[in-house]
Amino acid sequence: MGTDLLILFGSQTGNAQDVAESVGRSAQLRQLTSTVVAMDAFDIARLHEQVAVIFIASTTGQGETPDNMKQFWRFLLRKSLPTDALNGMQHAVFGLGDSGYQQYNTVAKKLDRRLAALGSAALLERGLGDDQHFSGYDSALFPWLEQLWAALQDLWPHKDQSVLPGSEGQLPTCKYSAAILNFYDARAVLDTPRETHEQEVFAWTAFTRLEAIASGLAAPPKQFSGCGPGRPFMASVIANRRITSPDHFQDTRHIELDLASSGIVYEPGDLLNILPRQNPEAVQRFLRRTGLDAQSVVRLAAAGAESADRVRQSVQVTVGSLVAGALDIHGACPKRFFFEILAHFATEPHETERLLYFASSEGRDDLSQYNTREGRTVLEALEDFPSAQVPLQWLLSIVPRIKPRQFSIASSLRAHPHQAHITAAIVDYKTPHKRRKQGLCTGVAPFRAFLEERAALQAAGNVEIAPCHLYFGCRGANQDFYYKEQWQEYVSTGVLAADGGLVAAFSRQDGRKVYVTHRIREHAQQLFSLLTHKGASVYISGSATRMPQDVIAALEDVVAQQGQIPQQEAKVFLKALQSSRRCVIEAWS
Amino acid sequence: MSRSNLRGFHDASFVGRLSGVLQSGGKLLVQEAVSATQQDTLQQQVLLGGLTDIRACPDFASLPPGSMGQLLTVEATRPSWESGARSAISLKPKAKVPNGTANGVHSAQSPTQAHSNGTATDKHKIWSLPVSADDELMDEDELLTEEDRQRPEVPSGAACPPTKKACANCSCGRAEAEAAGVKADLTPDMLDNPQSACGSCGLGDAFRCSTCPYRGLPKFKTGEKIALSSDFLTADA
Repeated sequence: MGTDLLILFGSQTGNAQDVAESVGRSAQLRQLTSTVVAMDAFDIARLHEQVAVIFIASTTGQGETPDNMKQFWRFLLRKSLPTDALNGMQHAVFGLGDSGYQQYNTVAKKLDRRLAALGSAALLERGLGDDQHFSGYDSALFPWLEQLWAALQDLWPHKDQSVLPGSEGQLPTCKYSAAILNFYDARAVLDTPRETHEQEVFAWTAFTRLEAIASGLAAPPKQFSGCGPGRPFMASVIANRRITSPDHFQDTRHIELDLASSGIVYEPGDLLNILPRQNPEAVQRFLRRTGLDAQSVVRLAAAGAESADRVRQSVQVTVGSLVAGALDIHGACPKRFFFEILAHFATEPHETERLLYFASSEGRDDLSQYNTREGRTVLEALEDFPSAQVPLQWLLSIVPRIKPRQFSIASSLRAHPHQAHITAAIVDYKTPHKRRKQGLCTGVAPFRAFLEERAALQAAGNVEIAPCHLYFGCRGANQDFYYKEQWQEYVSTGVLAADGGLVAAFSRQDGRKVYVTHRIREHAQQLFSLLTHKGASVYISGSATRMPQDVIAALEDVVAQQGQIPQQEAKVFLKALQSSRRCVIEAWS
Repeated sequence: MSRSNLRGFHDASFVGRLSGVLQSGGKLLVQEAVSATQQDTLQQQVLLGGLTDIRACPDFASLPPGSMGQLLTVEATRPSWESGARSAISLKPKAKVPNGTANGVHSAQSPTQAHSNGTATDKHKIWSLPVSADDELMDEDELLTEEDRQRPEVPSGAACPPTKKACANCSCGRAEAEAAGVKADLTPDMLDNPQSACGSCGLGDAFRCSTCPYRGLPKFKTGEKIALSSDFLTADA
């Protein structure tokens, strides 16, 4: 390998990757060389040769491993690996998780245990970052890092790992290079006939690929035709209907998208990724603040790329489409690294001082207060520190890339060929300090997809469909009982059972508060029979904070009471249903 | 024989096409200009292209002047089995040697091994075997101990930083404590004529304390009326 440290990450939303990169930079300050790369991009055949490996792994809500470490993890789980397979290696694990979820940091915990079982020696106890802490995972990360550097000093006592004076003030190497093209070189880009929105999507696609290359993720697949992950399709909107009553506080939309020639296929339960468009006013504000010229054309490349690669992988776009299409300037919160870099470019002493404070261990709580707890955006932060003029290649490095928004697909291709429907609620909320924000979330969508599929199969005639039972909790029958008529039709055609097939719980109707859990208990006998005699599966979709847990608890009560068994045994039964995938939770927040 | 001065020219799919015109057992020589760090990459691409018995030839021919790096020659063979061929492997180690190379299934040398200086022991070959569908995986849930399965309790009020204000739906008792004391609330006078003893309030949220009454408001100059932006809600809905 040639470097002192190998830093491997498994990251779903980019947080673990950020941590891995910052550990790499901190290592560099301590005169240690490192390689930072996603687990799946690393040739695992070389793992046993390593001396010191640091793992940064996040756990998603339901305890799943991030996509870019799935293969690596599978490999490590092989029974054929002997208990001394990793003798000679030392490891350190830091996990990112959320103790609000049942599966808290299970990925990092399992990884730590498995590495030890394969003969690797732990340099220090695993660190567990928790989103529930005031300053998030930083709370655990800072102290863990101190221990890590101490452990490495013990491991290599003769190696000078002191921080060289003055090195902390140095600007690190930028991941990207950006060059504004002259008029003639720019012509090729400017002359390409593409309307604005398409240009923005093209910029996003190209920058996404470049980011993966520059960040040591698994190399993206070579030339592909057709659409798929990282290759968006411009879909037309066929319908956009409000499906909540006009007097209801929430504006929920049923949206139909035409997938026509995209070749995209999906199954019930799949998610659709939709690339949002940014507010043009915000884009203009950003351009004014940064002094960038929207019309200029820039050539971007991964810094340090060898010359043949560089030409092949460079991206040429207008600055305007890059900012509007690829950089999330008024949505996602920046990371700590943003403030670290901004400190280099601020010229007012009080700004520099504040930025350095925010980036430090001592300032992490105040940073959290200012940044994540207020949903601060890049644009707002730049306007709060007006003296900082950040060059374009650094903006690319520190401004979060626009991420697609995921929606559960609410339709079945059998019922609506070449279409995808989504059910989206537009939510207005206020931050702790009364600043207005907007959000989107979905609810019953996957079940509409599921039932449409079953209805279509039934209509086709050759498959026998067991009737389903839909329990739907909402505010009122005339307010937000989405797709009511469709469910009623399914009851009459037998897709939903005639008895107890459609059970609604209205929480704000006629002065009564009825929840799905109440209804579950009312139908205890039938549900018990379904779960135990009929081999029924349960799918729960709801807000992560309470609803899924409450439903499970209600089902435990049903099983305990109807089966006349102790509560503990009922709990075991529900757990077994979950591990055998007969009980599946889709939780969102 | 395929030769290129362009690094990265021989990628897996190209090698695959080249191997397609070989007879079974036929040899392919690939020469490419590589840098010192890229020798592995070329061999990897040849492997991924479906060839076996990969050998890097140690003599580097010289390139025309002005070229970067060195010319690396890699020799490889098109395997004698066709895709879809099956053979059983026993994964029980025979003495110290994993049995992966028995029974006619030839595992190609990994690029690392081709380059190792002979210190890789037989036991390390297990890392290079490709994962087949027959490979059993352990149940990962078994890795967790009882302690691992515990979740930390939700941080108590004491875990919040001392300067943090009570939350709107406070459940830890801080709200009552604050209610007993004097709170600095924002008044209309303060909006018309904002003052700041510390001098930081006017600089914006980035410089304000967590208890600052001006939090959430835009920047201001002392004494100048604060202009509220149109998307700022002052009343609770």
